[in-house]
Amino acid sequence: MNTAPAFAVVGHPNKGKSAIVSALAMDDSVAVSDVPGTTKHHTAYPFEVDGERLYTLIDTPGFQRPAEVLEILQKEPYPADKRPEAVRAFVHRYKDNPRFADEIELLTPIVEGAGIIYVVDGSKPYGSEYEAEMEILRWTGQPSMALINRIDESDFTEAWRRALSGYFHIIRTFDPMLAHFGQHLALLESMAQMDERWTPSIKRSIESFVAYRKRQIVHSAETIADTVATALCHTESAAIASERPTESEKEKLLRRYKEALRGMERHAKKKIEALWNHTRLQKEEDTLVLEDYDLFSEKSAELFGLTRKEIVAAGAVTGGISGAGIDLLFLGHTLFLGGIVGAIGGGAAAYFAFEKLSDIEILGRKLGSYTMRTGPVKSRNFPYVLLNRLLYHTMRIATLSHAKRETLHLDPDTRFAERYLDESDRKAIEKLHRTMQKCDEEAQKAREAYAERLKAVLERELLT
Amino acid sequence: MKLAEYFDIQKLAQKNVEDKTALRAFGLAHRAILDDPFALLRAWAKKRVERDSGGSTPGERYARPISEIAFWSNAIAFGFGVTAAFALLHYNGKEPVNLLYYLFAAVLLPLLTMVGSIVAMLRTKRADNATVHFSPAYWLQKLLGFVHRQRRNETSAYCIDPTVVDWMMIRRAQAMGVSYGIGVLAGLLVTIALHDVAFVWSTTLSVDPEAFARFVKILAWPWRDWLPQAVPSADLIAQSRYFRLGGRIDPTMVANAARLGAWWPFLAMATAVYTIGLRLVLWGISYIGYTRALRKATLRLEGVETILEAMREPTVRTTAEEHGDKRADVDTVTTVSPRSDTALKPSYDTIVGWACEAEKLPAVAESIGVTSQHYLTIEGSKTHEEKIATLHKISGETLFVVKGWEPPIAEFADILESATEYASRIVVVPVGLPPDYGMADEKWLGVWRRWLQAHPINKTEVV
Repeated sequence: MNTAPAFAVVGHPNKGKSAIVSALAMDDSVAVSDVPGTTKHHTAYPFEVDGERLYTLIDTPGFQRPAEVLEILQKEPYPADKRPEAVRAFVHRYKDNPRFADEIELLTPIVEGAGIIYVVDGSKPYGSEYEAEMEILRWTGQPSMALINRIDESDFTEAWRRALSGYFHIIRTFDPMLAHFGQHLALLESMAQMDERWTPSIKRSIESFVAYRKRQIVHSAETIADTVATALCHTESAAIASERPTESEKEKLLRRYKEALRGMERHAKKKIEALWNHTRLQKEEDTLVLEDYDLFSEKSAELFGLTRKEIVAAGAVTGGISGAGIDLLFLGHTLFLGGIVGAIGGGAAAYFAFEKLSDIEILGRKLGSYTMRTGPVKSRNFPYVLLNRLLYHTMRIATLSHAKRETLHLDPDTRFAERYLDESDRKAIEKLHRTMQKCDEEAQKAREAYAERLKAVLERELLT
Repeated sequence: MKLAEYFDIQKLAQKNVEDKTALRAFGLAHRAILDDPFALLRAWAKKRVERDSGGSTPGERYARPISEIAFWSNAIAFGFGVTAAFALLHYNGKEPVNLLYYLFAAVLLPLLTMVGSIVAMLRTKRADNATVHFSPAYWLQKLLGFVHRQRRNETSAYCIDPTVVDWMMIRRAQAMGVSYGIGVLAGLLVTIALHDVAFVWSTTLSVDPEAFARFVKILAWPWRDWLPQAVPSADLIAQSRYFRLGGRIDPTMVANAARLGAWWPFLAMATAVYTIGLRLVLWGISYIGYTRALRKATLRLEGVETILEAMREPTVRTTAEEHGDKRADVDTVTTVSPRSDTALKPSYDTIVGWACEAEKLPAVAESIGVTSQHYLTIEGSKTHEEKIATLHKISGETLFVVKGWEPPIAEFADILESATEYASRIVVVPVGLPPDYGMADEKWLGVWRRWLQAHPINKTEVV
């Protein structure tokens, strides 16, 4: 016997029922709008793991004639234990009557056994006109929970709580636009409490959901690591007529090189969006985040990269550590010159490699022509820019509610280099960037360590 | 795991066409090994691999020359061991056999190569492990590979991870070492059985018999307690000291010729323990190293990670099977915000508060600058019949004050429809949130206007 519970998300029109379903089902194609009556039919959103249904969310139309329906139900004096039958009889009797089409749509899954998630807008005042629909839901006798969804800034939550407590045992607040992972899990926990028969199924859903989230994080980290590693080692070549390329030839090659790197970033972003089930967002790539911030723009370097000072400091630390190794080898007889020289050398190298993306090399003569090549990436800052842009994109996409419909915008006052990576991350990542820029077998191993590090960063941000 | 499986998995992973669902179905059918990626992969390959009429998989066919090379390597090493033993124990009765030669070739030299093997094992993690090139197995492989040119070309269609090659060579070298040791032991036993051999020890170094006895005792440490017959006595050691100077054998030595042969159990045990036993231990270690390297390399093969992920990761579906692409249509609708030419008048014949509390209605009306002599409220908690009954009291130009934030519903449309029977004109005015009320903001007004546009009602306008 399949004991997977179903939950009908019901309420007044335009109170965010579809937004809640969209957020919980992680489906960004659910119709969400401020036009009342957008949802015409009930739609089931099953949560299935390996084909096994663990629970189903049902998006329903809002009540349209609750007072009239209640009046019909109350025409006969049903005792409390017969009220669910009265509702069932109403659904059966009026199923083909267009006057109650919305009520039939929303009550059908409930009389078939679904639990009730009654959604109200906590940013709007409570009104007695809600009582009819709450009374109808009480008549159904099904396990229920009220969800206060604050659509706007105003707060009437307390009044709502008082009103809802007369009808519902479980009352929770949930903002589908802002709810993070922990709140999503907490809501599932509440759903598990609605009926003890449903608890095992919902508990399994929670476990599967956590595991699913972790996998999304791992795959995102690997996608970012692969993209940064590939971008750092990418080269572009072009045939040139003479040993000395013209400025326009150089510019053309550099343009192609940058376009290839941009393409890698775009590809990674799409992959990440698909990983987090934001497939609709893919179609809106032109208006997607970062549209005004090209990968190679100064603004991008400023927001996502490190400052020259930070790069020089990181270079000096790395050089100093290498030099100190030599000092240690000679038991300090070098008067610690190794460390000093290493630090100066590392800092200086980092200073000069701060901006320059890559060198252009002229390769040997071959069959009467010359070839020039640019890449791999020499810049110390570029890996940070690319990494932080991808991290930012991942964080935004991973925390973006599937109920959101407007285009995302970047907050230009934030430096993203500091937002996600702490001091120890930056030190480790600097070292890994240096190794990855060697583009050899060691770089491959560094890529794996890089992915692990990024996984830890993403877990820190996204598993709470 | 066998190399053939590695080859098979390599090819299968490269050309895998199974989708995620099929792979997950395979994973679920093998739940018992789901946590063991390697076992899962092997089971998958076993099921998917195609066999020829002889029952061989492509991997087995390609790995066969390598196995043949291994067999011949061992055979050659065995032959070399037997030959070495015969040469070292060659005895024509004129001069005794110096057992130090034997110990050098049968014990010391293999021990030195074992040290080389250990170094090679420790360096397998390095990409540039050059030590395997010192292994005779490596060169023998090259040589035999040249002989099997045809097959070598076939084998080269596959890639082998460098670490696997390193461990393969190390393991091969240990196997050859064992074969060599067995060959030496066999040669020793055959010689002992078919000839009388007089063993002596002879060295230029100033080693007295007592010191040599101590050395022998140390060498015999592994077996001296349980096989004392294989430990030479102090007398034997003293009697078998030999100097070639003078060109003739000491008469005492000749008199004890029968006793000089008593060294052989010691030499046989030294060969068994040091040349064969220790080498077997190293072979065991190299076998483990090879197997681990092969497992790791298998998991690193192109396409394998994707296959394993698909098999092991649950498929999660949260979306509806079919719900179309509704959002685009909806977004288009929301962008249209119709304007209304209806302006509020300062007073109306009747002002009706929809879902509004009676005592608040005049204040709400005042907040939008309208007034009336006749206020009516239709409270939300009233029954449908009660609400309709209230409408009998309205007359003339009627203003319906509604909560702007609450979207219009069919029930309100019914009320308006009924109201048109009594009112000459109906204006609907959505108001803002308490406590200030006032006109609703443009966003909410738009919702109400769009609604009336979509469901026109006679004599009715939204402000």
